[in-house]
Amino acid sequence: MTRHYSFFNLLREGLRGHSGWEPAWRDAEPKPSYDAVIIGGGGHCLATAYYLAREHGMTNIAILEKGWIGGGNAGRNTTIIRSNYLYDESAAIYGHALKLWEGLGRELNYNIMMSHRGVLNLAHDDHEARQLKRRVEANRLNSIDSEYLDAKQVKEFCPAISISQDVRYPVIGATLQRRGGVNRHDAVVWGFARAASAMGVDIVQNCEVTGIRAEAGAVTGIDTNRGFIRTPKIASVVAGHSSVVARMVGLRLPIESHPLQALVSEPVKPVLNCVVMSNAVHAYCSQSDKGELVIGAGIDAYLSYTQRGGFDVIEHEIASLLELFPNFSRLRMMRQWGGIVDVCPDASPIISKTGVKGFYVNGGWGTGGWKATPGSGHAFADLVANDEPNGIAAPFAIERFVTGRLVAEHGAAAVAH
Amino acid sequence: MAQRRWRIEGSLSLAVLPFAGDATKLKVQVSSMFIINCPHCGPRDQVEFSYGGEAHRARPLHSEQMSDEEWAEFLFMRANTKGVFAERWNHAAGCRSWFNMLRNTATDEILAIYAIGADLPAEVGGQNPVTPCGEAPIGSGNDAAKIIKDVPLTDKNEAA
Ligand SMILES: Cc1cc2nc3c(=O)[nH]c(=O)nc-3n(C[C@H](O)[C@H](O)[C@H](O)COP(=O)(O)OP(=O)(O)OC[C@H]3O[C@@H](n4cnc5c(N)ncnc54)[C@H](O)[C@@H]3O)c2cc1C
Ligand SMILES: [Zn+2]
Repeated sequence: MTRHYSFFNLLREGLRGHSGWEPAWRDAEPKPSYDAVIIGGGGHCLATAYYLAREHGMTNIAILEKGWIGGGNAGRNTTIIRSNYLYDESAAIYGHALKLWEGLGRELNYNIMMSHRGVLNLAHDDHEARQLKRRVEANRLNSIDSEYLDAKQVKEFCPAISISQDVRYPVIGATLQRRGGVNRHDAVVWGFARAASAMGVDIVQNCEVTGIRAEAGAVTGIDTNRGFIRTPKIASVVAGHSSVVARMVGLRLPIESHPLQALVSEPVKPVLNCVVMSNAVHAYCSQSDKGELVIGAGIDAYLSYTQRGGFDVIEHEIASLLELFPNFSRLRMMRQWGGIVDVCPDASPIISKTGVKGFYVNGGWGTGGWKATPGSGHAFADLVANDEPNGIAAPFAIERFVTGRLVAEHGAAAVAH
Repeated sequence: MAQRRWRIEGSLSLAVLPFAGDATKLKVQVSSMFIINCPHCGPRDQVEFSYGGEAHRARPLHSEQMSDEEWAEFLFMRANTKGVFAERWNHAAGCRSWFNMLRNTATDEILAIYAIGADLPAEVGGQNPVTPCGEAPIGSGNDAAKIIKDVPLTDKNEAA
């Protein structure tokens, strides 16, 4: 059986008809009890499981996913990765994540197709330019690479952008984070799953959590459509369903769930060499290695769990994109989809213990959590293992909504992805 | 008019085509989220409306006497119900009046429209998810977890 992925093993397997590869992870049956159970099977969930096993030696754990792993927002997002947030708390967690991304493919022995192709945030007027420059300086104070480009430099870096000043939203400059970029969402999920499974973590699919049992203020176990599982620690990492699962222990969250849509065009030859985001026009775009343009924008305004969203939002999305790139107007769109994003009032996540002992929440990542995946999993695993938040997780405790100490990234984070 | 009809059909085919087999069995109106029946103006495209969030939340009268916890509860905490949910809508590009709507957030089916200040309508149809996190039978894209069936509606809106 061949486990390790390498050029040599690829060659060897090629010569024997690829008969020796073993499945990347075990599709486990749920056991009657675990030391900890993670609800959800997205990127953050699998990262949490991986770091729990690797950093804290907790291998008698399971992740329970109601569908298949990576079927939620992990499989629906546009994978924009950057860490140029305004506030120190955000810089710490997104910066931590970006550092982990840089070595992750090698560490997991899985090609996550990490591409540091650079992320541009465009400025279209003087006020926006001032805001973006302020953010660049804040980033630098936090040792995050970030620079401001004028229009000519933008054109040099990304030739597809028109810098004509004779349009409704002229590009007058942009911030650039060169270490930002995109990666392959499925590969991240599968890579974490494979590495966690190899350490003994049970990955249980088609297993929906339907209830949580607690006694004397502490969790005792979890009801699923595949039976009851005893456990003293439950970590909820269910993105759009955060409020629904929290309600199983009587907890209310400051989260609202909204559809967020994305689309991809037919594949074309390389035309866009980096990620381009615009706050004022409100669209963002990158080109996948297959050649498709990956396009996204804002949420549907109403609360919904339907994973589709309305057509008017797509119309806006495309209109905005064409404002930026009129030359894309003849492209046909191939696929559209929606995911349910868990939006927090301050556009920052919740990584927190709760009033119920043994129940931990990681959610509220909203429209922009993919970039944080390894950092989120790393900090959350620490919290679940030690029952105390580390320095990175502490500012994101749910108490901030009572104390008023919000991490208000809404205005600061650009299109928020 | 022609423009609008095209738009609705376009979105429907996006949502329904992959699940055409399922769709025939359903009572759910897939187009419900795109047409809202304004009590004053009649059926209009959803783009004309803006969303006002959870309904039946009154601003506390004596906020100076409230604890931080109580204030956080009013200001930030939300039911975020999956299932039948009461919410406020405004016909922003029409008569500009506000009204309440009862909608199943798991399917986007609109169940009732009623006046601001009125009580929750008593008897409405609709289907709650069988399990708390069950997916809608169409359009969710999550084929592995489509588990909405006919069940009596018990909890309408915990915030009410
Ligand atoms: C269209 C779109 C574009 C996006 N673009 C970006 C971007 O460019 N950059 C960025 O940083 N972020 C982006 N995001 C946000 C990002 O995808 C999310 O913040 C992040 O993926 C959420 O974490 P996750 O991967 O763990 O969530 P998910 O993959 O959603 O994982 C949650 C899992 O929990 C499961 N679950 C729910 N309830 C239960 C239950 N009761 N029992 C068992 N399992 C359950 C779900 O099935 C799901 O698989 C985007 C999101 C969307 C929808
Ligand atoms: Zn009206």
